[in-house]
Amino acid sequence: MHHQIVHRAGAERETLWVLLAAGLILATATAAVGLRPAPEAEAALAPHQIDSRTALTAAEQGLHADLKMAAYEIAAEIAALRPADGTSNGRAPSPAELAAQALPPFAADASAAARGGHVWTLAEAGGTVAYAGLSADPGIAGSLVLLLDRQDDGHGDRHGDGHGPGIWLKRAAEAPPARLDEASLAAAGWKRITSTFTAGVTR
Amino acid sequence: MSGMGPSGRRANGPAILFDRVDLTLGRTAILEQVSLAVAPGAVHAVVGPNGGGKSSLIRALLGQAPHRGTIRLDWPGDGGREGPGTIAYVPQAVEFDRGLPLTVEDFLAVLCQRRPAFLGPDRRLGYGEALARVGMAGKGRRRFGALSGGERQRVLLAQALIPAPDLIVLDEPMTALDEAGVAIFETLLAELTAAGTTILWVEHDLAQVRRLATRVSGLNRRLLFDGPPPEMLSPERVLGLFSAAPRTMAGALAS
Repeated sequence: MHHQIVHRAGAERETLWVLLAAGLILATATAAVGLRPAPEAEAALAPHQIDSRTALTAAEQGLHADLKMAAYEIAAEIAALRPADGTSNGRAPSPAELAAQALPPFAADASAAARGGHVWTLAEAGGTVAYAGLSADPGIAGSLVLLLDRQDDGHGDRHGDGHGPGIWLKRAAEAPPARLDEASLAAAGWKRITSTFTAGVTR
Repeated sequence: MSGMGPSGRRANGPAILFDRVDLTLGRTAILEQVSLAVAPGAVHAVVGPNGGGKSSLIRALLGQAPHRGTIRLDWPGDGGREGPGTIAYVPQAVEFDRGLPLTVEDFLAVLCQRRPAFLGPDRRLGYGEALARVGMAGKGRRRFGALSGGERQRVLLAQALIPAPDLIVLDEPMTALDEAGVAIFETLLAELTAAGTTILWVEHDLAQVRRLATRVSGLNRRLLFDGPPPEMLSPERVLGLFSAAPRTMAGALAS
């Protein structure tokens, strides 16, 4: 005996299959998303670093941008001042020379005064060229140090994060330590300005 | 309409079981708690007034209505070796364009064969023989739209014979038949019964039912009676079945 049930006309079974398929797709997608999360985009900052986008005052942001551009100018100038025979490296231009070229932030103009009136000095130690800017008003902008490597034409990245020359900040009217390397600056409470790229960066 | 399942011939038709079948379309209750058993090989007639749910019962049996309850076909055979057999269906009438350039053979080909009808009728299926059985021999090339109502009804009977059915569902087949057609129908019924085919037959001609059916059920939304025709088709029952207030009669008749 073969029993044959006559099913009612309607789309119940098709609907069930469609819902099952939809559920399966959803479950697969949920599992895939859950098992393969995107890596954490935000890299935690080291204690001696400060974020250029979120942690700086307006004046500091302007100075930081100017210093990044000035680093390339200075590197080009060092290369231009190099003796033709190539026996030694070029001389680093003094802040006064840079101010004479009206190169911000070294130029003593109204915006420099508004940004804290930094007094810039040149310090050279070994292969490192450093321009230290002593702030007159740390409440507007802290003191800054631009670290350049003489050999690297300004493009190299001996100082860190892959985003140009090393620029260090300390919110005090305080000269940098005698030894201008990362460890000494960090030990003296200076913070390196770094740019981090997170999911929130749109440009 | 025919040709559901393989065309294998078997000794006996299936039993049909309707168990508490409900059918509601919109808010209209068409069938209510219809429980009915059709024995294998029976000529089971279903009678009732217009709108009583006879055709809906057939549609539910053919799986074309959103019914509730169980409808089960019990096919003979050992554990489904053969599976479901052939179910044939003869509709009350066909709606079609009379101007259609369609011959009788084409019409049968559309209904009966798997091969596309535009490639021509499949000779192996024996359309000529089936037409001969309903008294339409030699009329296979006639235009279907040019047939009379009785001839068309015979063609509808012929399509049910291809392939040989195990269950044949007839929806008022005698309505359009002429006298000669009625005689042919009776012969056909006898042949099918002899072959063991189960016949479910919706009919309003009570005299024919009394003469030809082995069992009769009265249906007017509910099943009002079910039994052998001589006892069931008493004047009182028939009056109750066709009266305007079947609901009040239903209880009295069922008891």
